[in-house]
Amino acid sequence: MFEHIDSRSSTPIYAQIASRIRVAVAAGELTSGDGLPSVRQLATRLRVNPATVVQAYRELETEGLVEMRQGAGSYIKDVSPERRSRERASEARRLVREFLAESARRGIGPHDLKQALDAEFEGGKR
Amino acid sequence: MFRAILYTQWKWARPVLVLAAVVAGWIPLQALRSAPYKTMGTYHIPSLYSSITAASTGYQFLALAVAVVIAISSWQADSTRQHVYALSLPIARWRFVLMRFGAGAALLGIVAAAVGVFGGVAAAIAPLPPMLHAYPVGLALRFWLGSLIPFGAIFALLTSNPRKVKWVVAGVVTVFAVDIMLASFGVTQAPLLKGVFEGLYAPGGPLTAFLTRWMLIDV
Amino acid sequence: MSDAIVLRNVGYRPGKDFAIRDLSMSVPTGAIYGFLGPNGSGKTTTIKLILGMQTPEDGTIEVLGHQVPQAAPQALARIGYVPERLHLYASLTVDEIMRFHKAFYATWDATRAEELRRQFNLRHEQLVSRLSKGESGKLMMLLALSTQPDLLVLDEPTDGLDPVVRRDVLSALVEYVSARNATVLVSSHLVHEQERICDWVGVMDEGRLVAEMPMHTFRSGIKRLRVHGAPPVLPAAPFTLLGRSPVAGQEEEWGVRGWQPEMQSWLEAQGATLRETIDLDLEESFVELLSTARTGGSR
Repeated sequence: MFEHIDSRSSTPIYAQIASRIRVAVAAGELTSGDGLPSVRQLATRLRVNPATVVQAYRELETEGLVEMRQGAGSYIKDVSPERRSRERASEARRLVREFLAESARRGIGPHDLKQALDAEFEGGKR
Repeated sequence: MFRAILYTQWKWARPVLVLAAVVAGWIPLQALRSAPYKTMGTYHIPSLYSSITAASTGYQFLALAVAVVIAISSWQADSTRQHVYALSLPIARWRFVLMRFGAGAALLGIVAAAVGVFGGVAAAIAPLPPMLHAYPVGLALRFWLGSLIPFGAIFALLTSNPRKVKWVVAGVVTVFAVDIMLASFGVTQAPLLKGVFEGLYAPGGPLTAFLTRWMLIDV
Repeated sequence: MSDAIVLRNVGYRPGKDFAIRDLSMSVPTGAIYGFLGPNGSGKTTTIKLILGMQTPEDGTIEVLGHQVPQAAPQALARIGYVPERLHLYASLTVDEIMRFHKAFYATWDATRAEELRRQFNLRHEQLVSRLSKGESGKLMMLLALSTQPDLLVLDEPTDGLDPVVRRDVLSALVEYVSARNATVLVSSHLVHEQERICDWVGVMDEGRLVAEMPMHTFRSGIKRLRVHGAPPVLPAAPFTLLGRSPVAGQEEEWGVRGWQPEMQSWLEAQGATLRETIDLDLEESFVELLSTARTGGSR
C-alpha cells in the first residue's frame, strides 16, 4: 500500500500517505475498525519524518475517516458504503485532474485525448 | 572509564609485555648461571658482581625499550584516526590524557613487577654467599621509576600539538646552535650546553636512574 | 529551551583559503534539521565547532543549554555523533568497542545496543579494521543511538553505503526519533534522502548560512516560472528573482523565491505572460538557490 512514496513529487509526502489510505478504503482493502500502522512503525518503514505521518493521520482524522486513539493507535472509523463510493469518485476525479494536467503539459488537446480514450476502452472490451 | 582505557592499552601492548616478561626472566637467570663457582659451592664474588652489573645494564635497556614502545602504543590508535573519537567522548581532554598516562604507568608497573618477581626467584634459588642479599623490591621500584622518565618524555611529545612540537624543537636547536657558535668563536664557554649536561647528569637529575646501577644482588 | 543548537555570529578561520564569518544558526529542539551545501562549504567545520572540537574565534555556541567548547563534556554526554569517516579504534573488536564506549556514558542502553547489533548483523568478535564500509557505518550509528542522546549529529551517515544498508541505518534513525523527542542535525549531500526525513533545512555555501527555514517553506518558497515576453530590464519585483534563462524565442525560465499566485498581475503589468508555475523538489530548489548565490542574481 505504501510503496513508491516519492519525495520528489510536487505532492507532499503526507498527502501521498493520506491518499493511499483513502484509496485503500475506497477499494475495500481497509474497513471500519481496521488498525493503521503506528506513527513510529510507518515512519520507520517509509524512512520519513514521523511528523509527516502524524500530519497524514491528522488530515484523515479531520475528514472523519480515521480515529486517533490516545495511546492505542489509529483506526479506520465507521466507513459506510456511501462513504466508500464517495472516496472512489473523488479518487477518480483526482486521477483525471492529474491526467489532464499532464496532457496539457505535453500539448495534447481534448480531441486527441478522446480518441485515445475510446481506442483504449475498445481494446479493453475485447 | 579508567578501566576501559587500561583495557585498550593492555590489549595493544600485550605482545610487548609478554616479550618484556620473558626478557625480565632471562636476565637474572643468565647472570646467575654464568657467574663461576668457587670450590666450596658458592659464587666467586667478584665475578658474581660483574655479572650482576651486566644484568643491571640489561635491565636499563629493557626499561628504555619498554617505555618507548608503551608510550607510542598509548597514542597509536588515537593518532591514526586524528583523535576524533577521543575528542567526541564526554570527558575533558586533560582527564583523558591523564588516564592514558596512568594506564601506561600501570603497564610499566607490571613489567617492573615481573622484573622483581623473576629476579627474586632467581636469586632465591641461587646459592648466594652469606654477606650478599637480593633486593628484588628495590630493583623493581628502580626499574619502574626509571622507565617512567623516558615514557613521560615520549608521551608528552606525542600528546602535544605536532605544529607546536616542531616550533619548540626548532627553537631549542637554534638556541644550542648559537651557544656552540659563540663558544667556537671564543666568545663564551658554551654555558648553555655545559649547564644542560651538568643538569642531566647531576645526582637527582632525570638521567640519574640510568647512570647508577640497578643491582639485583648487593651487600 | 526552544533550540537545541544556537550559533551566534560565529567566526572561524582554520586556514588561509577558508573562513566561516558571522555564522548564525538555530536548530529547534525536536527538529530533524537537514544541513545542505556543496563540498567545502563549511558543514563539517561547523559540526566540529558544535561538538567543541575546535574553538571559534568569534561568537558563541550553545548546545543543549551548554556553552561550547567551555562545557563541551557536559554537552557531549547527551550527543550521539556519527562522523564522515570511521573514527573508532581499528584494533578493537565490535564487542570491545561497545564496552569501551559504554564506560563513558551513564545513559547507555545495553538492551537496545544488543538489539541493534543483531539487527545490523554485526558479530561480537569482528575487528573494526576488517569491517566493510556498510558495517562500520552501522556500528557508528549503533554506538550513537545506544547512549540515548538528546541530540544526534550525523555527518554524511549514509554516504557510500549500499541501498540495503542505507535503509537499515535510516530506519533505525527514524525509529529512535519517533520514540524520543530527540533533535537531529544531519549533513548530507544525498538531497532526496534529506527531503524525506528532515523538517528543517539549513543551506550553507562558502562559509555562510544562505537559507534556514522549515522544509516545506523552503520547497514551496522556491519555484520555476515559465514566462513569455518579459522585457530585458525589470523594476523591483514583489518576489525575489533568483535568475532568468532563455528557453526559446521569447520564452524564459525564471527561478523565483517567495512567489505568490497573485503576483501574476505584476508580471502582466510588465507585459509578460505566465505560462507555467513549476514546483521544484529539494534538489532543484537547492541548485536554483545556489547558482544564484554564486553568480549574484542572473544566470
